Amino acid sequence: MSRYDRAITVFSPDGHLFQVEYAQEAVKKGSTAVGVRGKDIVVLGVEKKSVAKLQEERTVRKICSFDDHVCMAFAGLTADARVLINRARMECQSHRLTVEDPVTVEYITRYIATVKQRYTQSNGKRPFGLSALIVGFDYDGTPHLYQTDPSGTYHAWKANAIGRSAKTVREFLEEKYNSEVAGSDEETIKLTIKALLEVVQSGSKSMEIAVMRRNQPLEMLDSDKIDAYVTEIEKQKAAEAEKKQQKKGKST
Amino acid sequence: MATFFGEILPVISRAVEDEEEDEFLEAEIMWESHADPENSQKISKVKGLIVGVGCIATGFLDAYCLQNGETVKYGTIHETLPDENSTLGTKVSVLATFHANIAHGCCTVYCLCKSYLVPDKIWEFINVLTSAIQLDETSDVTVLDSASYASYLQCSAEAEVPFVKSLYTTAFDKKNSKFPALAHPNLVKGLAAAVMTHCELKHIPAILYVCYTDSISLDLASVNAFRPFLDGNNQKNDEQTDKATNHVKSLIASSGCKHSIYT
Repeated sequence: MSRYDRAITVFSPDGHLFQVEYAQEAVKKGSTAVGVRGKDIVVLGVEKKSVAKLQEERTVRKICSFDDHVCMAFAGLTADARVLINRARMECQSHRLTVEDPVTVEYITRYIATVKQRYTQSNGKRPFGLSALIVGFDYDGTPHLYQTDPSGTYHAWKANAIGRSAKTVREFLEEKYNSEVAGSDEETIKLTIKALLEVVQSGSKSMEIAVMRRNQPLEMLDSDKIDAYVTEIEKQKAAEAEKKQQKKGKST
Repeated sequence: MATFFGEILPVISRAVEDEEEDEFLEAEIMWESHADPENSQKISKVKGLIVGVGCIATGFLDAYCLQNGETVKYGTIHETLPDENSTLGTKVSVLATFHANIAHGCCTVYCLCKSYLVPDKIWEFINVLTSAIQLDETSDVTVLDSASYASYLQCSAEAEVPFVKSLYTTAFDKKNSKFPALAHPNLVKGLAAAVMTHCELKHIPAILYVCYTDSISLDLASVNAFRPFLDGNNQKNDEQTDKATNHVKSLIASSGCKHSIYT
C-alpha cells in the first residue's frame, strides 16, 4: 500500500487513489455539519468549536455565503475551505455579470466539484481536504442541498451530514426525516437541531444554525432562538419518555 | 583521505580551526520519593501497578482514578541534566509521576507517563521503576497506552474508532481481560512494550490495553474507550462519572493543543 499512497496521480493495483481516500479521512477531523432540505426552507447546522480566550469568535466560521441565494457549510481543512470559497464567490459574481442571472445551486456545486477533481489529477498537488454541504434556492424557487467530497463527486440530498460523527447523524436523519417534517419550516429547523444534539456534547451553546427561506437572505439564528428550540425539543423528549413509561406500566 | 590502494584513512583537516569539543552531557534518570514517612510503610508492599502511557491513558487515570481523594503523591521519575549556564543546580524534566492509593488495606500505585521516552532511555527507566516499586509474581500490572488507528493492521472492518485491544503476559489469567485480544501482526512499541517484556521475564501477571484512536491529542471519546477497565475495579456512579467527564474536559481545554487546521 505504501508504494501507491504517496503520489496523487498513481493508482494502486486494486484501483485505489490513496491520497484521495486519505483526504476523506481529513474531513472526519472537522466538526460535524448537518444540512436538511425542506419544501420551502433549507437549514444548515454546525457544531461550534470552542475558541481560545483571546480569539475573535466571529473569525471562526463554518457557514459562509457564496451569493444572496446560496451558502455552504464545510468540514475539514480550514485553509482549503477558504481558497475554495474565494473561488466560488468569484465564479458566482462572474456568472451574474456574464449571463445576467444568478448561479443555480447545481451550477456552483459542479464548479466546486470540478475544481476539487482537478486537484486529484495533477502532479505536485494534493486533494482539497474538505467536504461541503451547499444549500440554496434556484431562481425558480426550488430548494436544493448538495454535498461534495475531496474526490470531486457531488450528489443531491434531502438531508445529510459531514465531518466527525457524520455516520451517527446520518442514521438519525434516515430515521426521522419524512415529507411531513420537510413540509414544515419549524420541523425542518428542529430536525437539524435534534440531529446535532445527537453528537454535540454541551447543547445549544455549541451549535450554529443557518436558515434560508425562499427569496430571503441567509439568517443566522440567535443563541436565544436556538435555546428556545432546544428547550422545546427536550420537553418533547421528556413527554415521549413519560408516555413510554406509562405504556410499560400498563402492559405489566 | 584515500590512499593509492583505495583505503580510506581518517585525517584531521588542517584547514579547519580546532574547536574544543563540547562535552556530551549524559542525562541521568532518577527516582525521587514524595511519600510521607507515615504512608511509606503502607506503600512498601505494592499489590497493583497501573501504568498510563501518553496523554489519553494519563488523562483517563487522572480523571477516573486520581480524583477520588484517596490517592497520595508517591514520587516522580525525572531526568537530570547538568546545567552549564547555572551553578545553582541542574535542570529537571519529569518523565513520570506516581500516585498511591492506600485505601482498603492494599496499595495500588498509578504511574502517569505523559512524556515521550526515547528508545535509548526506556530500559534505564524500567530499571529505576522496578527499583522503586517492588513487584513480584503476586502483583498485578496493568498498562494503558494509545496508538494511531492508521497503524492498526486488520483483515476485516473493525468497530468504530476508538476501540481498545489487549495483550497479556503468560502469567495473566486471560479470563480477566476486559477487551478483545490484539491480533497478529500488530505490534506494541515503546514504554508499554518494555513494561510488558519485563513482566513476562519476571513472570508477573500483566495486561496491556491499547486504545486505537484517530486523535493525536486528548479527546473525550478516546478516554471513555477505557471505561470498561473500571468495571469491577472501581465502580463509578453517575455523579462520579459526570465529575470525571468534566475533569477530562478541563484537561482538554488546558492542554491547548487543538486541531486548529481543521474546522
